Amino acid sequence: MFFRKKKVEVESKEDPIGVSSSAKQDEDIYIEAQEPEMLFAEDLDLNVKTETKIMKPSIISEGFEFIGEVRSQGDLTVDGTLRGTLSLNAVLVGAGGVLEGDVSCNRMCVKGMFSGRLECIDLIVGSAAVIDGNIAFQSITIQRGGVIKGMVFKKE
Amino acid sequence: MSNNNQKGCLFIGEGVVIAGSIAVPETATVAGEVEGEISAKEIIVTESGVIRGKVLAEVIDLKGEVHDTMTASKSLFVRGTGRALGTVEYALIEIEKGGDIQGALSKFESKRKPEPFNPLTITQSSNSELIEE
Repeated sequence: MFFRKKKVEVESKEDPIGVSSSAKQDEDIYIEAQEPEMLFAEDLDLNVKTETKIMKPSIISEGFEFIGEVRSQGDLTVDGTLRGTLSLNAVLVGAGGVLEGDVSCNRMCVKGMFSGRLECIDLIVGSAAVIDGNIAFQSITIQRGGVIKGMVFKKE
Repeated sequence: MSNNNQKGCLFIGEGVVIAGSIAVPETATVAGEVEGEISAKEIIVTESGVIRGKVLAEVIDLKGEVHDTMTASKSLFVRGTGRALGTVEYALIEIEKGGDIQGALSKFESKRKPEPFNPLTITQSSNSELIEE
């Protein structure tokens, strides 16, 4: 019980910072809104893990290009360009975002462009999204107009 | 959806198994099983419907299963219960949560029937092979 109380405090401290972040977008809110479920589901398992999951999403802003490897338990929003290997909890590729490379994550939402290899649990493809590559998922949603080219597999 | 005018339409009821090549000028509704080739203007595969073979239509509404090859020259809807396995070609696609799609996906591009598509969804490439067919 002590642990849980502590964590709630941490969360409430973090929140005002998150809200004040000017780069916050609707999509981020969407991602964060789903997070409490995850937190409580894994609360019983590892304290370390839940603490890291409270992290605010990182943002690759518009006009920002990054090449390299990204590893995090948190979330990432890509509005700029990102090339490389990613291992994350949730990835959002914004409408103008470009993501290329090898991605493994829990939740992936693409509104911009993605090419490469993707392994995820939940995949959401926006209506203006273009995806090219090999994709493995557990659940997929494509909004009307979204484009997927390549091989798709469903994981068990 | 099939309107009151049944002209040129086909309905394959649940439990009915058809094998062969079927050409339907209007709407084909499949609640049973089809093995072979089916082409129509619009194909509706209901929850109980299964198609094994080649499917060609302008509009495909998939609530059941399609194995092998599927081509939707206009739009493809995979509903929550729908399963598409194999090669899928589409101009416009929509998948509901729960819908299952596996295999090779590609975009259908043809100059035979130019459609006022959303320019955002069209990618440029040579269509020479398609035209010659």
